[in-house]
Amino acid sequence: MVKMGRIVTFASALNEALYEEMERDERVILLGEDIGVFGGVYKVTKGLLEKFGPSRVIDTPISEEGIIGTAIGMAIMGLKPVAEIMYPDFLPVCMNQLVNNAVKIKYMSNGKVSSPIVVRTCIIQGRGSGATHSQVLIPIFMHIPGFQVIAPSNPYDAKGLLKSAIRSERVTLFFENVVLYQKKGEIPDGEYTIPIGSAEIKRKGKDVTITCFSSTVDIVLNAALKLEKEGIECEVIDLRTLWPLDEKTIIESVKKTGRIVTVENSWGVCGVGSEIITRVCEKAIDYLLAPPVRISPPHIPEPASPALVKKYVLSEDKVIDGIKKVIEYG
Amino acid sequence: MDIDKLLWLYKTMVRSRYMEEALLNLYRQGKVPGTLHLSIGQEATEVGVIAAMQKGDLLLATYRSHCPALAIGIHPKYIISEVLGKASGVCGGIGGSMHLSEPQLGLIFTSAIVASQIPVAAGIGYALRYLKRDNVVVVFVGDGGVNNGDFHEGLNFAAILNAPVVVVIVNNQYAISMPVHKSTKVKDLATKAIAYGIEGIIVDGMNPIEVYTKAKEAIEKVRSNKTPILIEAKTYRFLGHYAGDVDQPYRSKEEVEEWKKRDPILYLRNIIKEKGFESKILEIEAEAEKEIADAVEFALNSPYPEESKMFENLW
Repeated sequence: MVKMGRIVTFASALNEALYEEMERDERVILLGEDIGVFGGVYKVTKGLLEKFGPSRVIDTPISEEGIIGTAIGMAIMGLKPVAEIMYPDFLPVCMNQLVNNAVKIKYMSNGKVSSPIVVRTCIIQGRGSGATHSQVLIPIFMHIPGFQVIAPSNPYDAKGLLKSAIRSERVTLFFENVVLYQKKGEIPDGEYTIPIGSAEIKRKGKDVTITCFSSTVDIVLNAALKLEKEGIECEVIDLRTLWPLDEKTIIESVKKTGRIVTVENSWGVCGVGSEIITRVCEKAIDYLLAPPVRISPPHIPEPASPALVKKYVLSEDKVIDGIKKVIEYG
Repeated sequence: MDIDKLLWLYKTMVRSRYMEEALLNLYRQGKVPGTLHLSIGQEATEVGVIAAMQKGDLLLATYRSHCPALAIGIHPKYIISEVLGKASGVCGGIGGSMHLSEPQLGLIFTSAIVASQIPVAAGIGYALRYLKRDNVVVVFVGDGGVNNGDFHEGLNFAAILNAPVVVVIVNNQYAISMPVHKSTKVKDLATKAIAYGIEGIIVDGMNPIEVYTKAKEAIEKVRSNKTPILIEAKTYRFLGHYAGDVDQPYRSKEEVEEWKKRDPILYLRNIIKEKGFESKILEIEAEAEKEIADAVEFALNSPYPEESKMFENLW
């Protein structure tokens, strides 16, 4: 067990991760829009320009292909770039560099050239900003071979996983979440990292397995607390890493509970839950007591009106309804 | 220019020409998987620029990759093997014709995604400067690449990051079937440099001596000033966009014949001959012929990669 020490916010945990890795390794370079003088739109990179200087904290134009392509070039030369793409909505703007260069160069060169970049981005779902400032898009990057996809739910995981990602030789997409930035949590005083690809069971239970990640973890944990009072014991798995998927933890849990509910803030069609449920069917179908249930926003762009956003995003009630469905099946 | 340099330029263009003629032959025999893009006609541009690079300088090229790969020093047997998808290929048969890498010789990679290598070059250039290496990165792009967003974003990044990047537009007049005068209102593509606050220069891409001389000057300027330069080399591909583009309805036979009169290999051959080195020419040609014949045999006799190889190097 790691000895805990301090209470910090999710945003400051990330800032610490960047600070420590930059101090540890001068090959670590940050680049992105408004990350330097401005300190990042949510202040995650605050103070880093002052500490490490403009050659290591690079403010860029609004030019996402340029940002990712440049990061790839730096990585090819042995630097460790951490690029920030403000919101996932802007990932499609640099999809070409991500899909055709970042995760292909090492493969196509037979390992002679590699480009291990980290791309940080912040989900801003449910804020009323409309359809192009709200998308999650995580499953797209699970579909394409070569990305490791991380979406932490708390300060401890955020710091430990970001440090692991920066030290990794793989291409990482690191999804932060604006609703988590001010969330507080305990972290150790000293150095620690968290292995990429390992889920964490946040709550043990015998009746139903629920997978979640990022901002959905707290929603699910709250729902589980309420259901406990009704006698339903939920096993809650925080996936933490979406790819590579910690299939073992999920399958073992389902073999115990016999029920699976997947919760995600991304769209359900070809989503995280689709992949998990497929694997459950492939490897544990004989253990299932009820048809699996996927919980996700509806398959539409996110509307702007607050009245509609409320209906669109996940809620404790939606999660509770889904869980009850698998329990009541029998 | 000294005779050794002239002979190197000639030898390299001849080796590339023979290699690509051999590849075309293999393609026609159905032995080449996938597609095949040949540099025949535009060798002066690719060879001339690469001849101007120094040790440690780096290159990113396009899917028209074989001539640059040979010019930077990859043996034709490893290039032909890669085109055929053989285990002995420069990338183990995993990359294929369009995706060649040999970083130890300076070739980072060649890309089939038009213009996508320019932002990457900006990052490589930045890293060279950050790592205090006195080298430059040269990046090739076709005339078809200049209207792509990555051309703009990459050149802008290279400029604002003061990255030692030399962007060479290999203007062979056509983006597959689209003539350059229809794809942009800009007459000289080098003038696009103005948009990035950098210098743009035009070279005769059919003249290996001019390409080499002007590229050398540009490369050394970029090395000392740490500011990118955009070079437009006006050249021509004698064959279709890819080996199967035979009819070429987008241009006239007369036009092709007119450009063929400016074949860079014949041009340089005459110059060297006039200087009294005909015996050297014949020697080079005989050696190249044998080298390529041996390389083809090597590639044809090489095994395909093991199945397990396709699961390697994803991460």
